[in-house]
Amino acid sequence: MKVKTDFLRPEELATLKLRSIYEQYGYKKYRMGRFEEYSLYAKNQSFLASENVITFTDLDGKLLALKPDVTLSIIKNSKAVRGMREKLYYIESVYRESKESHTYKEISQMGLEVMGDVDRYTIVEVLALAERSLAQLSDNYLLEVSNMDFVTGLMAGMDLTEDQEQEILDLIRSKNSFELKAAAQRAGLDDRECDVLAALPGLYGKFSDTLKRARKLVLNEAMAKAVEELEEIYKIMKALGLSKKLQLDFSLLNDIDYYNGIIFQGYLEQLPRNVLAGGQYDGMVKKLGKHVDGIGFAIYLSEMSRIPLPDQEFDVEALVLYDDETDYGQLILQVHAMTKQGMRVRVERQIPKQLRCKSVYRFENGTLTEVTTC
Amino acid sequence: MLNIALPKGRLGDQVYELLSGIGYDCKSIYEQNRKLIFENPENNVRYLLVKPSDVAIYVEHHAADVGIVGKDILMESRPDVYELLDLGLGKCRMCVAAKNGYIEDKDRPLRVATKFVNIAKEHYASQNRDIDIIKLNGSIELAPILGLSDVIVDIVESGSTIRENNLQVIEEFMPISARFIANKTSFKFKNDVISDMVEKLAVAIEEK
Repeated sequence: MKVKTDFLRPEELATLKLRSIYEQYGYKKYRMGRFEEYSLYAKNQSFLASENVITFTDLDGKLLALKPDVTLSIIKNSKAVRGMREKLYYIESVYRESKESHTYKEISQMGLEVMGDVDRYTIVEVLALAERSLAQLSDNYLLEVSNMDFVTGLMAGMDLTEDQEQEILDLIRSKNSFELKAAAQRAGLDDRECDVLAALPGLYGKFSDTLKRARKLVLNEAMAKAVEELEEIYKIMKALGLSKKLQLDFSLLNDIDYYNGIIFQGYLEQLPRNVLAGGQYDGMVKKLGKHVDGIGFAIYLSEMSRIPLPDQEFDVEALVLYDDETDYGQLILQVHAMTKQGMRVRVERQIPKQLRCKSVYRFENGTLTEVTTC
Repeated sequence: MLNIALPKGRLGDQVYELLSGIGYDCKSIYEQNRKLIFENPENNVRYLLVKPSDVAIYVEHHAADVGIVGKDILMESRPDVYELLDLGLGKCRMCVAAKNGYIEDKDRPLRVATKFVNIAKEHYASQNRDIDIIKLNGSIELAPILGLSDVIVDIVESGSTIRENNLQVIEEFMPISARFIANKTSFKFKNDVISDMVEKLAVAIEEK
């Protein structure tokens, strides 16, 4: 029997479809505990979206936390070594602070991670999977890519204090090119460096055009390599037929202590925030004492509950009314027969409020009679 | 000298009429100027004109001895003051409203737009309903129209704003009116004046 899926929520349907895509590429589902030792999060607070974590003491006196993040646990659990890879995906709940209501919220996430040797094939595979995931969620999506090495390569050549570096990174992220130029001048950078920095916020748009503009700004070898890597990725994505909704944006920057190289974000037109985020996180893997690379992405399924559902005309096809006189044995046989025909049937004594039904029947003396339509 | 925090606007005008009728008049309040403090040394009162949502703050912090404030604001911020009298003015209801024809989807958290974050949270907590709060400061009625929220929690007086924006009230859960509040210290040290005021106000309302 074919299972009906038209009453599933968009996020439920997405999990089903995405699981089958990930399995096809040889990724294995990974299931983790709801609790983790708090120390894992305490040591890596700046990686988390917020430092507030739900904690409690276990019966043996250990301080545990309801996990606010999945990637950290996966890295810690990983047995990947050089020369081999682990490919995983997960569907998990995380517990985070909602800044708006100042309460904790349960957020459901689906994601995919590769740990071990991350080469260019792996990067392209993960990017392609990210894009195919977005395509499952909506027709109107956009995948924005950047190579962090371009900006970190640029800034490595500058003599900046930590504060100056942080300020400049924040200004790039918020595309504030006016203040960026002023900050660069204050930091004593030369004219060429100031110009390149001030150009970064505007360095976004169609992949090939943006790449052309980026090439003109290259000041050193690291930046040249970052551009070359993006060129190669673009060529392959184009051959895969996945380049139309790909965009480049050099102002996309994650925390440079944890992330490096290719990073990306996915947007759907109906949703206010990005629904997908990911990238290479070699820095974080090293911080947790593993000598491998990592790349992955997460999809925020909770965000998808904001997508308005297509207007359902009816909740059920048939409402069947009965009373004290009814032979309920016959009634349930009748209902069973109706569901076999693919109808949704609700049985009630009275017409419930707020129920949209196609037709209303009364079951009397073993027969159905249509009453009215509601 | 008794400091009275009056909310600016229509409610403040109505309350001033009440207070001047029982012997706490202050003619200078009718002067057309931008002053915020008006005094009448003859009957020992000073009126402070403040934003309605700030009245309780002035009274709680003893900048004013007494004040007049809506029950909605008392419920939202729960200030540490005495609530001495229901003035029966500015009557309205705290309501949940949604677009006409709205049907709730109980399969996900309800998105609630409101100015009254605490009231909304408490209301839905009492029903064990999971919600996402969206705090707005005005034009709340726009939220469901634009799909920013499923419902709004707001005060409704006549209901005409709700109706004109194609919304409907789906639940009323808290009657609201203006309350006479007093600072706890003032109530003890200026009890004669305040008690007298409450008594006379109660009579004046009765007669209305």
